[in-house]
Amino acid sequence: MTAILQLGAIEWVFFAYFIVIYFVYGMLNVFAVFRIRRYLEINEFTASENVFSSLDIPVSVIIPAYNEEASIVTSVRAMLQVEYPDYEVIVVNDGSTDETLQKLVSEFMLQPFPEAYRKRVPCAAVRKIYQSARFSNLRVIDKENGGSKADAMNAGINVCRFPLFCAVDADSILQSDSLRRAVRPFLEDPDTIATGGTVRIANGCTVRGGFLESVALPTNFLALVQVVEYLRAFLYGRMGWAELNAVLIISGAFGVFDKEAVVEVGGYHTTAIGEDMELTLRLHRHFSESGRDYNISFVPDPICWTDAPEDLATLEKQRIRWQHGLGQSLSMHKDLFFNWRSGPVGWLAMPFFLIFELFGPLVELAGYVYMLVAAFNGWISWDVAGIFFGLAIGLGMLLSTGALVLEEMSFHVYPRVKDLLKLFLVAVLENFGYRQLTLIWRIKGLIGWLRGKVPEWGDMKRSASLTSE
Amino acid sequence: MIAAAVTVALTLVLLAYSLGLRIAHILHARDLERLRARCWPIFAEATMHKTCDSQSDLRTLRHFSRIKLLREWCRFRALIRGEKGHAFKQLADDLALLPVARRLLRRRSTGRKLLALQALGFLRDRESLQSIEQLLRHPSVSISITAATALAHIDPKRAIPLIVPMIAKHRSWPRNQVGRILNIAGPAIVTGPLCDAIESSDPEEAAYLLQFYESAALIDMDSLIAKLLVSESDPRLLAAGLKSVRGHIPEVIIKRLAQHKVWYVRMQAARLLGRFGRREDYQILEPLLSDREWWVRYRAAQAITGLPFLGPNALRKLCDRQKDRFAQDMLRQALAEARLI
Repeated sequence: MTAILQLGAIEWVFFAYFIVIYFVYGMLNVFAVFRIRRYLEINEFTASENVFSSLDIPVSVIIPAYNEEASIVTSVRAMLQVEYPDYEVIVVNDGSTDETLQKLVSEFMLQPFPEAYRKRVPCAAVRKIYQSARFSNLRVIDKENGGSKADAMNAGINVCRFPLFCAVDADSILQSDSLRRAVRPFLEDPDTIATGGTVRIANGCTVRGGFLESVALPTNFLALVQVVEYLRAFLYGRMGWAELNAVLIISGAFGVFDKEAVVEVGGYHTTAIGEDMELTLRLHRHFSESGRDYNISFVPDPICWTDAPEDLATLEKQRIRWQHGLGQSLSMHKDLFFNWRSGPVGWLAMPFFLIFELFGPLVELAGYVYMLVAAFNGWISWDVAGIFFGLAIGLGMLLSTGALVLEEMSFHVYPRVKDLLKLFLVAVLENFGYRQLTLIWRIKGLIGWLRGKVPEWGDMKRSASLTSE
Repeated sequence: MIAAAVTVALTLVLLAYSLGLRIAHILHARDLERLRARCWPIFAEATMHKTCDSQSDLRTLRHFSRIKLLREWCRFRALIRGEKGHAFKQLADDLALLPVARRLLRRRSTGRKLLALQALGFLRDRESLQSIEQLLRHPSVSISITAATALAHIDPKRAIPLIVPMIAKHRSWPRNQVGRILNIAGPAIVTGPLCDAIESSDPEEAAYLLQFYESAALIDMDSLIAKLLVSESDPRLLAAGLKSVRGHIPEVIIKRLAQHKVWYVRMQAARLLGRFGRREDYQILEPLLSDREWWVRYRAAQAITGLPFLGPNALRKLCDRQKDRFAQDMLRQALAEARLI
């Protein structure tokens, strides 16, 4: 205790940083607990009442595909089997250099379709539009490569016919009721303009015909850590912010949007690195500036499963790209910061993301280095350094285990007790090495963004369980 | 060291808590499975024989928690239609579930209240009518809409005149659930209050209410809509009216609305003309193929391709004859959609 009282200003900055960040995360956790409990309580009664009617809102599902020959047919086949009364599937072949288009043409008997194309949001030139002779609700757009997923999404928006569109990654694995669950907020609140869903890690799970058949934990340690990370990010990160209508990201892997709202803001930004976050921020900005009521919602159910990188090189590239996208999106919408109309988005969520998510890695790493150097040089006692590391690592453990508790309170996705114990072990171990490694990657991403360097995408190696039919 | 010890201890507490939750979940799932294995066959029998005559079976059910039993009864009841529902109610009386539901209605928990409302609705408990009516104004959307559903089950004649004027104000009530409530009551009860509410509401609310036209008697709705299409000028209401019409609308009205300055009114007019499929409407539809709005051209093209008196050859000739490129493109798209080219 006396050691703490002798701390200097620099030490206090680092201590305060950790205390504030974990306090905010703790608060988000509390919000998320209430929101999930309420959601589950109500869901138990409304889930059985989901009989489709003519009053349901039709949805256009847009799947952008670039060199997805390995998985595109399975993904589209799965999308065509989704349980929803009225929907169309639009695949956008973004100038693939592999056999993506040919596979689609032969599998779904695609025929050229004379679409009276209209360009409402910007995108690269469309070469040809096809319609399936087997499935009347399937169209494929073949376009020039626009250099980004956003460009392909915009092409999809230009041709979609329905009032809502669902953005799905070609490698996303859905559940048959994913669409129904994600559309529910639009039925329950007419001011809803976008909804995201919880994305889970599919590595280790069994997938058949593009649908998730059984859930299991991955064997790869990196993928295992990402299971805990995703739980943290989605279950209480986004659920907590959703309570304040301050969700800043609707994941590109799965999101449902009001088409007219997106067209009104100009569609996806075609050069943005984190196009999903940029669009969400732009929607916040546009609707808050125009003083209109709106809601960007979040569904806690696990509705989309994605393949996580299992090697360090791919993971590094992903994290660098995410950090770059975060910096770019926040700077593009800097006007929202402390804007009197922006509400919790500009006054809480964005400052939090700026300080703790964007620049946080710098402070955290500087804290580790400084405390070690200071302890070695005798500027501070080893007791103080011990308290600091105990706090930094211990609170990190608490945060991750808190997410696991939330998962246990709600969805129990991982069925075996052994899985639960394994996840707890990972939640502890990730704080020794993995977390520090991601810090370095995030700092690299931050520096890359500050220097204006375009991050690499890199090839994603699919995990074995997902490539099998 | 103390800080580290505290966080490790807290982590262990969370682990223990999670394990506790998991054990509770497993036990609950087993309990539920056992309950279902016992009660669902009895429930099924009750719907077949109108009354459950095997008292010993009922006694086994009485060992279970009343609330869990009530929940299962509601789950099963939600799957039953028609006469079987009455027989099933008898079983609830034998199991004394009604007092349980009434008691739950007074609880603060949302989950308990929802269960009570669902059960009281299925049990048609008139004694709870007043308490349920008060819940129509509950701040929780789930509770207010479930209360409305329960009222529609218990006494639709009394409930619908109360509920219908609230629909346009309660936009947070999911539309599909509102539709379900109106369907429970049936057109004979819904038509009057719905028509009254549409007539007395402002145009925006009336347009919202019109989407539930399918729950009302179509003849009455069509005559009301015809009246609105003549007397009203709000484009949202006009478009909603055109979208809802099922019967006949005088040509003069449609002709006027097909030239309306707001594009979505023109679009709905084109769509409606396609549904009529009358020869005389073709003259109104063709100019709409050159409309400046994509959706109007699209609906007009769809309407034309669906006209029963135009065969594939005539349509293809019509397409080639178009001087306006936009009209031609759109007609070609509609023909392709209809697999005529």
